[in-house]
Amino acid sequence: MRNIEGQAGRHWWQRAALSMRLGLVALSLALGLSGVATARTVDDITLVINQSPWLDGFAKLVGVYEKETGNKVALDVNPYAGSLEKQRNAVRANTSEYALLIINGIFYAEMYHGGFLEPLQNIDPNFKLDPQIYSFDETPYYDAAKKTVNAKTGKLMTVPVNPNITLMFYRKDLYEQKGLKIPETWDQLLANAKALNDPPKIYGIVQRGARGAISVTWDFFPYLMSYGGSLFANEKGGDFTVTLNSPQALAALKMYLQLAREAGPKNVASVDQAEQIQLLVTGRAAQAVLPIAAYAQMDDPNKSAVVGKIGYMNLPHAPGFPSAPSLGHWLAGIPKNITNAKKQAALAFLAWFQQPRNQLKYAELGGSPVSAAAFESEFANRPENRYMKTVVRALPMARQLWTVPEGAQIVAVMEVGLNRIVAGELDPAKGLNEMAADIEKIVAAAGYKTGKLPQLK
Amino acid sequence: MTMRDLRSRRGRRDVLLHAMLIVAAISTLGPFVWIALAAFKTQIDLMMGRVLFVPTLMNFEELLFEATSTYAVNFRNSLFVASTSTLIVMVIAFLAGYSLFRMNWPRWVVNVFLAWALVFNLIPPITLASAWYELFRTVQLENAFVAIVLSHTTLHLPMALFLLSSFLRAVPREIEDAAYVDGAPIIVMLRRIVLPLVLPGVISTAILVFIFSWNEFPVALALTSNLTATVPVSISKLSQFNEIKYTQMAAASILSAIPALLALLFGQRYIVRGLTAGAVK
Amino acid sequence: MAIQQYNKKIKYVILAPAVLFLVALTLLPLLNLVLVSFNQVSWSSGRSTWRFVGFANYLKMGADSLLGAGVRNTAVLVVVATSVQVALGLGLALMCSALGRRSRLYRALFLLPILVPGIIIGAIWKLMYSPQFGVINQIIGLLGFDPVEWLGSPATALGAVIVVDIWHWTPFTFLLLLAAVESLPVDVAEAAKIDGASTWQEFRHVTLPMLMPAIAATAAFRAITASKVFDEIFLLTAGGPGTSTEVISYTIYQRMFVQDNAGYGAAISVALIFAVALIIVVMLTRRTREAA
Repeated sequence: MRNIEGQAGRHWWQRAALSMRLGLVALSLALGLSGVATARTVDDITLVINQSPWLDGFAKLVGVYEKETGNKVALDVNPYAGSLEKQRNAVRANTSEYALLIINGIFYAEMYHGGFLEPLQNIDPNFKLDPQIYSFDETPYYDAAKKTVNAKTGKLMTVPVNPNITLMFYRKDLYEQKGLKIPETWDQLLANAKALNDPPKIYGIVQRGARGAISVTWDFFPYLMSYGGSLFANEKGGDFTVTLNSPQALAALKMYLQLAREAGPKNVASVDQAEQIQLLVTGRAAQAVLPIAAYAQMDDPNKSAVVGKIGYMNLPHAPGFPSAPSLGHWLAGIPKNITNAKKQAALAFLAWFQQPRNQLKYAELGGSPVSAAAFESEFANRPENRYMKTVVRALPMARQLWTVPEGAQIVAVMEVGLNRIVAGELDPAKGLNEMAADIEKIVAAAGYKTGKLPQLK
Repeated sequence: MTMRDLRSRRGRRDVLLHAMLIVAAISTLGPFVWIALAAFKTQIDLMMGRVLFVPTLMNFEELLFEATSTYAVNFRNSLFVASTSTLIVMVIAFLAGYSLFRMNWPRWVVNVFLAWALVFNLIPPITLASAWYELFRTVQLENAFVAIVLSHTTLHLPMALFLLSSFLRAVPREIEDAAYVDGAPIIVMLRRIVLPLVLPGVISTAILVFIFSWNEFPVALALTSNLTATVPVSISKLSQFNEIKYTQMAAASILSAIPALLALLFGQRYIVRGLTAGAVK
Repeated sequence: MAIQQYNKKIKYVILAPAVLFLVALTLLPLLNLVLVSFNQVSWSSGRSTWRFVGFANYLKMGADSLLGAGVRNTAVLVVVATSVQVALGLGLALMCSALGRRSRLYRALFLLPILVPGIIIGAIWKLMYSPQFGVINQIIGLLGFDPVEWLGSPATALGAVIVVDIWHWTPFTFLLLLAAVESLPVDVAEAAKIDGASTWQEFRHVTLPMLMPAIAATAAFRAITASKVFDEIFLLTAGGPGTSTEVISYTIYQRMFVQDNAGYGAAISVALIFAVALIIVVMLTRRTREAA
């Protein structure tokens, strides 16, 4: 107290300012206490989220939250294109207009590394991720020292809100017709695909070979990882030696190309996700690897000619390695540049959201739960929810693509490279070598511990 | 040459013109018809390429009445933003254009303006969007209509200036000199004499500015939130990461073409030859 | 006398609002862009760090393989698309003007494509070009040909994009040139006709020279906006297949926004602006010299 009086006492206006400050503090304490004494109301918050088939369910769930707790959560719904820029603008401003950001599993690394998110335990030291929530390859946790994602050494930064992983959508009616068995390995899948292939009426499998923001890369990663290959030697441990041009990667790539040439459409190099879905729902493709978000279209008679005929299976793998579906999930984070009150309010919503009973309610409202509470309940037994059983098996095996913010540059290299290989412009081994060399340059320039493998022949 | 010869010559010429115009119209219209038909199809009908189909209004219904769709509000917003920014742009551009091109500025000043108009159009719109977002955020106006109207005005002002330049330059000097001698103050002369002469140019430019503002996306996305968003932002939400709602997009594009079409049909009357006839006399 | 003084002052007054807008809202972003191009911007702990790197960003451009393809493709697109659009626009404008009021319906029809927002154009044309579902291949099939992968093969992809651009933007040139044609003094044309000049002669020696300023302005403006082409590429091909439809603004978008390399993206933008500005300055000074 002595310092304050000493500093403030010298001039009359400083004393006046001090009294005003004390008065304001007293006033807000009084108001705050009165607030605490009445309802458990927190600040109004705005949440930024993408337009998606699950938005309806999410919006309804938010409605339930508002009714139960009296807290207000406004939704700002954005188109997918431009959502990253909008969130970036928000976190880089002096104060963010959003208290909750729904971040894509592809660009979350930028948010982590840029230090834009508040670690959740800074807001409430007792907050923990509900044990029934799936781990999503440890992506909610971030280790700032090693600059990597790690559940043991990292801090909890986000809560998953959407489990958008990839499954193999297939025509179970055709499988039954031809007496095919669910494949475990890629070779078995190839055999099935060739049996079903009858161009141009129907293709055995349609892959996503087009170049895009993240298109063919996302399609190829499950092959790469389920053959025992990887982009980096040990990302979670901090070893970023580029291993893209390994013999395993070449084997994976050769299988990818074989499927395309022997059981896929001729223009694989320009098939993107929309076209994959189109071919599937119009009955022109027998199998396709798609994110589960697409399931809603399969049984909608206005959108599909194959209602009830689509089944879901886990992605195959090479013998000896686990299946490795790609993660394209969404995480909810709280930006640093908002008031503490808003941070508390945002965390209050997340805490409510992750409770098992609310996750189940979320599923019932048509949303996309992230908790075993929903996926392993009676709800999953309904025929229209048959995808859930497959998801339960897939989630523990789901793998993120990378954790570094340089991911955007890496994917740019891989999109062009893989697309050219699929189009037949570039030899697979040469392409892998070139991509690995480019990626090593990028990663080295960013200061990571890296190296490279000997060239593939 | 008799009158009858002239008339039949004109008749043949007209038939030829009509023929060529019809071909052009069909190729222009083709995709449009396709979009129009798509708006009344179900998604699966569209994707199967079915020529015969049962028309449905569900796309329009979903677009206008679904709970998470804000299209109707966005439509209103677009009307407001586009009309307001067009009005402001045309007033400023017309006045500035007249000053620049008819009022004895040194050559280099005029060239700087024209060059600026062109160069400005090379800045990627997304860059401008981020810059303006930061600017308006400092005064807490980032989602207010003021921000997007001012931004759209700034975006299209250079183009309007540039386009008006050729029309303004074509005004015959004699007319202005006559007005000067008469002792008319500039503003009156602009309104009564110059404006009618350049009306076709002004109207065409205004129509283009309105259309550009209506269809603008990156800046609108950055400077609006759900309730202040414009039609392109609304439509882009139909292109989701796992599904492109083609048929709803088609419905949305039909609806969103209506105001501009009306502006066009209305403004067309002024883009007619003959306004200049007799002026010099 | 008072009127003349008033008129003199008015010259500044009516120019002022334009200057105000341009300075306040365009100069600052442009300066920011130039500044950023000399730096490397990175973010950590929620704060940005600007590291001065001199001309390093500009020098990197030489090694960027995407940029080389981008410049080539953009140049092709600009030249081809603009010429076709101006030629078509002029032709249609002259025809409509010749028919006078009877061409009202055509005028409205020809303006339709520009009313469609860019996002929809991309989505719809993509569907139309689709090898399996597209209406274009359906029509070709009726004529007995095999379906073509318009957007899927490097040989046809850029051409397909150019066609979309022409469809989308011809209304722009058409509208402006229509206004120009309609603004032509009627008496001059009439005089030429009575003299017995044929339509073609009248066009070449009388009409065309009078339309030149408008044609030049329209072509210049269209060329500038065409070099910014983004929407169509973004939605139709994302620069592929390979790099056959990579254009400069798409490269800028990828480098600056997707890869968050603000400094490098800004450098490309500034270089582009500089290059085009140079061309403009050269053309303007040449025109000034001719006019003098």
